[in-house]
Amino acid sequence: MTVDVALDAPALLARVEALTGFVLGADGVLPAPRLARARGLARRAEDRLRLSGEHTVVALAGATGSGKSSLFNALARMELSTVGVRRPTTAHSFACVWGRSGTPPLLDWLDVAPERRFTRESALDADDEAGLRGLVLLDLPDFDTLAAEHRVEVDRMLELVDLIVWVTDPQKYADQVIHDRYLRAFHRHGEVTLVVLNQADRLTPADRQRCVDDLAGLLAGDGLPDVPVFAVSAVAADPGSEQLRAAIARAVAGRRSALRRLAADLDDLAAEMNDVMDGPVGPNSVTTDQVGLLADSLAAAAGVPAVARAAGEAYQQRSRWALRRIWGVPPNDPLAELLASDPGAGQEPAQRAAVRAFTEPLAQRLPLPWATALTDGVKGGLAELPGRLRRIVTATDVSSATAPVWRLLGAARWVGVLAALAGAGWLAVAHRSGVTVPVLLIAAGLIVALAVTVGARSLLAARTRAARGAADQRLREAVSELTRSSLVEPVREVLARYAQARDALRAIRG
Amino acid sequence: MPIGHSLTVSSRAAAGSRAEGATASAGAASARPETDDPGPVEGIAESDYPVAGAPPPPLVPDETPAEPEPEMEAGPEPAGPVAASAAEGEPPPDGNPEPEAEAEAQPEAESRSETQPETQPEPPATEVTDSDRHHGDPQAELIASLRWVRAELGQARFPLALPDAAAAAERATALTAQLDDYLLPRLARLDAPLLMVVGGPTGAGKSTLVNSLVRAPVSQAGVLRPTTRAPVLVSAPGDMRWFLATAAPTDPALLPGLERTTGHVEPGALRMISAPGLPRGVALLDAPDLDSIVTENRRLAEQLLAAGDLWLFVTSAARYSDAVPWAALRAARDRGTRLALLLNRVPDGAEDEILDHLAELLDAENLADIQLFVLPEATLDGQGLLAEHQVAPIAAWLTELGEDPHHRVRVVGDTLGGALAALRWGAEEVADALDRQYAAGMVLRESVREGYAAARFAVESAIGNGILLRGEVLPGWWGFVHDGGLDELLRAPLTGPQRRPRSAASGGRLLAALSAALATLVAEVGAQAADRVRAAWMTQPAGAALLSGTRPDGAETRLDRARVLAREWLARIPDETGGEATALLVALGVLGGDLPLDDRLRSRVHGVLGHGAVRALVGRSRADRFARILGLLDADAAALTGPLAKVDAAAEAAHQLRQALLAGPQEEAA
Repeated sequence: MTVDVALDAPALLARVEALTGFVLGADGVLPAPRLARARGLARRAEDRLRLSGEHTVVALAGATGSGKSSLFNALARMELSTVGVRRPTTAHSFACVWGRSGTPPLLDWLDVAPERRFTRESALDADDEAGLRGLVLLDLPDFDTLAAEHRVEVDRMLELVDLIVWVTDPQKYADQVIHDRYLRAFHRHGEVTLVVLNQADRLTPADRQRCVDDLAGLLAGDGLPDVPVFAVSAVAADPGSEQLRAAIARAVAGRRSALRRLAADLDDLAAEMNDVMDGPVGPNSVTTDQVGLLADSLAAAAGVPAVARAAGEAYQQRSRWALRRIWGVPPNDPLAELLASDPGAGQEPAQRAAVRAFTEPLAQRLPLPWATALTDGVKGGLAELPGRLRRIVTATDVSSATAPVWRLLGAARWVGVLAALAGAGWLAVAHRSGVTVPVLLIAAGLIVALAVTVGARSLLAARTRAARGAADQRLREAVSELTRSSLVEPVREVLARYAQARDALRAIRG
Repeated sequence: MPIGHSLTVSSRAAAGSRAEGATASAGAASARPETDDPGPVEGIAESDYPVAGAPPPPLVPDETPAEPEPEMEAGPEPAGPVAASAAEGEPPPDGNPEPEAEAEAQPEAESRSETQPETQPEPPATEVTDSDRHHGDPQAELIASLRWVRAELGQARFPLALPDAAAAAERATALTAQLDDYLLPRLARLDAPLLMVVGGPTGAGKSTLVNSLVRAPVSQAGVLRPTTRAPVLVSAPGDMRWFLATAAPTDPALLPGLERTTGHVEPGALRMISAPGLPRGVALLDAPDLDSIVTENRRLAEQLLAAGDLWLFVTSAARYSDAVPWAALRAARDRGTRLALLLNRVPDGAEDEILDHLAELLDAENLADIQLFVLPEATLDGQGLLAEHQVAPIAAWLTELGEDPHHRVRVVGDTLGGALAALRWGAEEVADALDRQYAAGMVLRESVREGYAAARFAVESAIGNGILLRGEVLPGWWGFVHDGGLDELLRAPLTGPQRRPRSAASGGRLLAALSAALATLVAEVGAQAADRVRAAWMTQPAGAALLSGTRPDGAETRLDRARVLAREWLARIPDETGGEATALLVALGVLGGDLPLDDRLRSRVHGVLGHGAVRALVGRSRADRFARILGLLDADAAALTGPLAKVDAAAEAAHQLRQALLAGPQEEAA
């Protein structure tokens, strides 16, 4: 049931705006027919709020032969609509307006043909119709006959009007069609619903009361326990007709029916959308751990560890070469060999499994349409993933340059060795001039050569590790970037839209 | 007799096969409660000796009409033993007073016992042809074949949510109900009084009309809607016995599922009232309304309408163009029911206009020759009855219908003929719907088959391409090769005691990594197959309905199952080889595929793997792996196709139904 808080126009407008937001968020996620309903309501609500708030559109809806047209005439106190015995009678809606200003746009919106519009209040009427000023009364076709086009017109009008007066009669008040197809569907619209038991003059007063009570019981079964029932005779003056007139006058004077109607529509829609909304999940539900795990799995599947290892080995080989020969590069390159063998070949299953392990826990927290949207969202990224990962692995420059230090060290070692050899020669050919200098030369040369050899080993190990680490890091950064842009972002986008739609739905509830 | 004239026998096989089938169903019949009429058991005893020449039992003594009618001679004539026993030896669902309960209790056993003999129809057919020719009774044969049709219709199921499934199920139920409630009982007693159902929308004045016709307040009328919550059957005192429930399954009463009461009102039960004011030969059934919000009323009304020989459709000036009753009227027309229409509560002066319009509507529905009555909106007398002179035309019409047996039989024959034609037509549609169920099931099955065939291919080609040693496993593989593990493996003795290799640690790691990679591959391929099948099913209405609300099952559980598979398979290899080193070698042989090695090493590995003993081990282990993966994927596929098992029988059911329709007497090519 609508609460009165929602009944000032700005609050209702905010709910309608939330509905627009909901439609935007859910576009492409929810099935088109459901979305179309929401979209239709948003448009309808905006239209109605823009149009005259001074007028209240009241529709007389009922089965054929229940006397809608007679009641229409009785309320207008004029013979406007033809009352026929042939069933069904009216195929179009007729409108009667009390008070003139502002109605043509409203009637255009309702799509009532100009020749079927009547104006009630004229100069001739003095003030006895003043109570209904602002009323737009519609006489709708029937909804229960063989003429299917009548039902279409009724259903269209019932979407638009502010207040519905259901007209039934002692013969038809328990028909399945009015209860199951209509009243039940409008069970949230109790505040804009009146029920009339017409042709009450055909019953004895006692029967009339029993009938009204029975009808009220059926209405309660439809979910409309508080709706007033008026026993009315359209052809004879009776107290019921006056009560009905007074009830309509109250609704017209209050000018709240349009808002109440839209509020009930929004309640309806919010309830209907309940099953596509679940717990609070948003873009921030994707943790850095989850993203990191995904990137790691993808990097492993792409062969990043193997490539990094090969990059380290290549560095080691080149450095050793430089240390020993000073000049040139080794003939074989482990990195190039590895890349040539395509370390990530055929790893699509592993990549898909990694992405599945990432999306599934998130999808499980979402209602089904959103879960589907989430898995669909990564499909594009997933399709491009193998090629992009291969490009990262092959195109990223992971080889560390051979540092000059190895050539210098190599040169130093050669110098040390040569110095030691020179000292030894000196010692052999010129021992008269003393041994101090050559011995020192030998010692220094050997020390240098030895120091370079020992120092280079640990330095090489450290630099190799560093080279491998650098390659690994560079590759992982590229894979992380790819993961974020082509997989995590689409997921976050779906989650953001879900959160938006969810917030909007809460706002729609008012 | 119109039935005998217009409908004749085309196939004798049915009667013979049914006699044989009856033996098989003896168990089902004798298992029934003691309180049942012993009739069926006797019938079975006879059916065992179809041509024994024993004096044929009178078909049903009760049926001998009290007032013999010239055209009825074919009916009560003693039936040939075969036909009679076939009819009597039938499994009892049709004769049971509660057909629904019966059908649920023994549908399976019964169907097989009945349908099996159909596969070899020739021997019994030739055996009985002789006696059949002499004692052939089209009516009994018709009843027998109708019972077969009824049994098949009772078993028709439409588990797949095809667009036509609900309608077909409804039609099958409606046809079953019509057979139980009307056709079978009516064929068994063609001379019973006419049953006229007074039906129509709520508030049209049905009960008031019935009361006025019998000049007594027998049916509750009132201002509150809906009124007639319990249907009332009014008959002349002498006719009442025709409508009472009978226990004998061979002699079913009309509407066997409805309890009879006299006197007090009981919802859902048929109240039997004998009214001296009613002419003999016609009974009135005041049905609940067709359009009220009480669902049971509507259902009961439809059931009763299907059981009447005639339908007096009562409507009012306010209601004559309501959509709901017209739908029922159309259904009755299609069923071949004789119709009459009463336009009630017509306001003064409106008669001409309404009648013109009504005639237009009737014309549009092909009902122009319907019997039409008009009553004005009238005040009721103290008893709530219409004035006698107002209902006089209707009363006269009733008397005319009832008193002339020829006329009566013609009416029954018309309705029966129409109903049989409609039955055939409707049952054909049911059979078509069953075929569509089967076809839809096959389409869904085919997508499962395709999806999982692709999955099997994907696994095998991935392993063959050597992807399990690449990607994540590649560093471990390299480590193993560079540490000399592979070399050691290739040198190790292939049989006999093995030393624990130096590289055992890296070998173990490699094996674990291989196992994990295999699990990932199998799980992912299975998940992809499931995704593919889901996508294919979603494009089919039946598939989408089966999947609606379900989610793809958890990747985590799928991975767990695949891990178990990989572990169990790996655990089997050392059992067979006896050594860890050989186990790793065999695992490489089975999972390695195109090994990431240089050519020299690769040919060395292949050389070792090609060695006799290892080759045999690899072959066995590969077969084991293949079988395990196949088993896992097949289990997944079976979980998907499980719900489709229900439609596998649909094609056979459609075939049986068509056979049953063919078995009955056909309309003569005039």
